[in-house]
Amino acid sequence: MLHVNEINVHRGRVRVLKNISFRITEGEICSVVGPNGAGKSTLINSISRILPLKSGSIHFCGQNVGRLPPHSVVELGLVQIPEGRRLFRSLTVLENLEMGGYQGEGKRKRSETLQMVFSLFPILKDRKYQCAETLSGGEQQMLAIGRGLMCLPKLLMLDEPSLGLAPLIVRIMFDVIERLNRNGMTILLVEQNARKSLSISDRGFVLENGLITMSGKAEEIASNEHTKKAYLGL
Amino acid sequence: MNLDTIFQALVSGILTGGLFALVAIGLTMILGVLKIVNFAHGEFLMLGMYLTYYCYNVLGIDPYLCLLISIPIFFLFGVAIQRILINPVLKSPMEIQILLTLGLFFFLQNAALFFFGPYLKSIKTGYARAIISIGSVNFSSTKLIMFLFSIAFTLVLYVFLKKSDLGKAIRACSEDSYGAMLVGINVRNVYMIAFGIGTACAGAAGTLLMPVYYVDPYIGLTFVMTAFVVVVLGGMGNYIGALVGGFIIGLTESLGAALFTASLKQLATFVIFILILLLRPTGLFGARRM
Repeated sequence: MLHVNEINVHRGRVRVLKNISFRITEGEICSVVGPNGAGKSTLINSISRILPLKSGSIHFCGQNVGRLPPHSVVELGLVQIPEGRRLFRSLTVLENLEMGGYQGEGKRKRSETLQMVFSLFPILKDRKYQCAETLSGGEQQMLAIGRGLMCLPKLLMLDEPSLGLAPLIVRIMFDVIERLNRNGMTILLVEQNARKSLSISDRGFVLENGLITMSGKAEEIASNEHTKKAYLGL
Repeated sequence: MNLDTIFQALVSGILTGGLFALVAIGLTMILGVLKIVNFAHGEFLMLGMYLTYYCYNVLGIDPYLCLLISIPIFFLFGVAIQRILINPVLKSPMEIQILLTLGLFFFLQNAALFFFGPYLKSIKTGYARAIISIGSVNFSSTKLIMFLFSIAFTLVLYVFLKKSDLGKAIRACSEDSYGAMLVGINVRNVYMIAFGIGTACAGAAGTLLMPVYYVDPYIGLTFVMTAFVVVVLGGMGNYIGALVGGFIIGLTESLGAALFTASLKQLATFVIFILILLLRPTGLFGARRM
């Protein structure tokens, strides 16, 4: 479904991603694990086309997306829920969701998708006329995910969805991710909560210093001595 | 000093304030969405006045009919300016952006001087002499029309920003352009449209002002300075703030002129400006809220 082939990405003069290649197959949950500064967010942002590729290519559903602008990538169904949520703070909850379904297929199916999002997160329906900035942290994360779902993703990329949330909310988030996946959505998950994210994943890889140092089945990564020590706190 | 003078000043302040609001809303939109301080904004107004002047004197088009010409022309002009000049510096440091819009200001001013000459120009319409009197307060019909059109534009723009998808996308981009990109909004297009709308506001204001006032190539500066005061007063990027701020500055100028002397009216405005920067730098309504 997604095929990242030997990409190099620079930030300023620093080479952040070094010849990264991987594939994501339809229907799976794939986790990216690694320390801060390893290039996890950079990876997601280059797939979203926010950051330019120095070299290499990215194919999504057979189409080369390496040169497309960010909004076209979203239209193809490659959607990112960014770290820090990036909500439209003074817009209402409903307006935020409407902006998710701003173009193409998402706009045509807006009211259906809206019902789906409200059934997934009933609290958002209760608060739909409230400004986004008045929501609690957990509700804001729900809104960010809801807004992303309004774009009708085929592949949903989540960047640190549990960051700064209470344990109860974290559990809800992971439940939702699993539920979306059961309904056929492919997920790419970047998480500092490596244990939790690997436990719901099919596959995963470890990103260290801009290089993929290990990849394979999620259980294998979770049971590997090095990752256990470095990221799982065991 | 009698009560009539005060009433007269109040009415004329409110009428002028409507126009200030229209100019400032264009400016605040460009500032709020693109984060660009547009010093050339007053020059768009000046060009709008010249366009109306020549439409009336050469083609014989009624100034108010000329709105149908000036609004689309200035929208497209703004889109082109954004595309060619502003877009390349959007990610540059602020001083570069300021130098660019300041350069555009000088360029347009001197181009006007070259093509239209330094002399004052005004138009004489049949209805310019029609004076409306309410009690002891007199004002010209053209000033009232200017006010009504300005307020109507402001309201249309407000409803557009609140209700339409494109309007919401404009607000979304002004809140978080990065987030907007990630939900599939074409931010580049939104920037062009926002700059076009901002420019069209200034152009329309110029057209409305032409039957009331005279035009020369230097007129833009006075208006852009006033508009900046209004924008800062209302809170940068805030549309309601710009509307209220327009009235406050309109009233300040006319009351200042009535209570002191006409040459001191700008003094009052800038005293307010300095006080706001000292006491409430985010403006009356805070930054970037609708």
